[in-house]
Amino acid sequence: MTTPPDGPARPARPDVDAPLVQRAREGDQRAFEMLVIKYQRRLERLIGRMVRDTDQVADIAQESFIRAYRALPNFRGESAFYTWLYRIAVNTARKALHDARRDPLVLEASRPLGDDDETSAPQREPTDMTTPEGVLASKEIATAVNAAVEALSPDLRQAITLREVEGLSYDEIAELMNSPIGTVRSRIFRAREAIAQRLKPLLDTRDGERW
Amino acid sequence: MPSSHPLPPENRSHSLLSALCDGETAADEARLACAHWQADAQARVDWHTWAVIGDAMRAESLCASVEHDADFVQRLRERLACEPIVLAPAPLAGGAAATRHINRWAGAGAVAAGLAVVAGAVVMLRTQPAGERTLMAASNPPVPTQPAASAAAPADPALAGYLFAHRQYAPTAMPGGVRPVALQPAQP
Repeated sequence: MTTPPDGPARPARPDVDAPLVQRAREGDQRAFEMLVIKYQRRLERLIGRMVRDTDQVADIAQESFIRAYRALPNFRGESAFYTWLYRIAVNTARKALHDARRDPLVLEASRPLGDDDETSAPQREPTDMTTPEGVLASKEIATAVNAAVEALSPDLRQAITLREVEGLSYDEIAELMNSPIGTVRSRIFRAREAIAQRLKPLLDTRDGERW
Repeated sequence: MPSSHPLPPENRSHSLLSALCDGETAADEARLACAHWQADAQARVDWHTWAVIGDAMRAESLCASVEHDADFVQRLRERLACEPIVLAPAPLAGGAAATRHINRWAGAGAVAAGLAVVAGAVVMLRTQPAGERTLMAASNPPVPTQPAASAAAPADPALAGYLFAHRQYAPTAMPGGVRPVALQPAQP
């Protein structure tokens, strides 16, 4: 699998989030929540690379989404939604870092301790959300997803890979696979359903009502 | 698994949701998919699962915090509940031509309002004794906002409606303590 950079995506084609953004701009809060679910992990990884305190990552991500929500009426769609959200998150993280430097309590807590304090070292490095539990969970999920993708029929595998990894539109996939666009839509949906079935034991789907 | 036969009806809403995930829905389909997402708990679970699948296919490290995703969204949902509903100003029906029309009116109105303020200040200063002029200049006389706004009010009802929508959205107080004037749409 490829690992694209965390930075803003290329805005060459229409923004995939345009329908949800439009609905959110019209006052549909559910549409904004759907965007949050889609991007929260990406945003947290980005912020985790900027701030040192793991406890701050989720708070800054929350603040970024709230700022984005408030600024949504001003979003003109000149860039992709994620590009815009990315900038908001970077600015929010920078402000949090700046504020932390001015806070004497935080400053005191971040001062180097003696060499005998073994617990202080990990807190000083950018976290990147790489706690041992997090690494294990992400490895398990990635392994399950890869196995599920491999188990798909070639048509479904190609369709979902072209969409999720290559980022192609349905039109482009239809052209590449020489299939009607409705078939592409159906294949991607079926692929997602099949992979989700394999992933179910790893995700906490018993608490469906929380979503 | 056969991959191209038509979907059963019960799966169509779910299929729409999948297409919405990729930005491949028309406006009415997006509306249906959002309604389905709100009404069906399984749809909300699947939306999250599909997002995780996409992230896992692109980069393994994106799935490190999947366990707390639901709590994160729940917390954000509570905060959003305290936020006012955001509404972008509705576009004017006339499109680009109407926008040019607005720009022309807005530009003329701004110039007229500016001139009115400057002229008012000059007249007031000239009519005051010399000793009071310094005091007047330093104490920032109140800006005659109502006449200026009235002068800028367009006669076009569509334009007046558009500006009214903007004023509705504008904050109640502008920086520096100047309050925006509520402009009613012109009666036909």
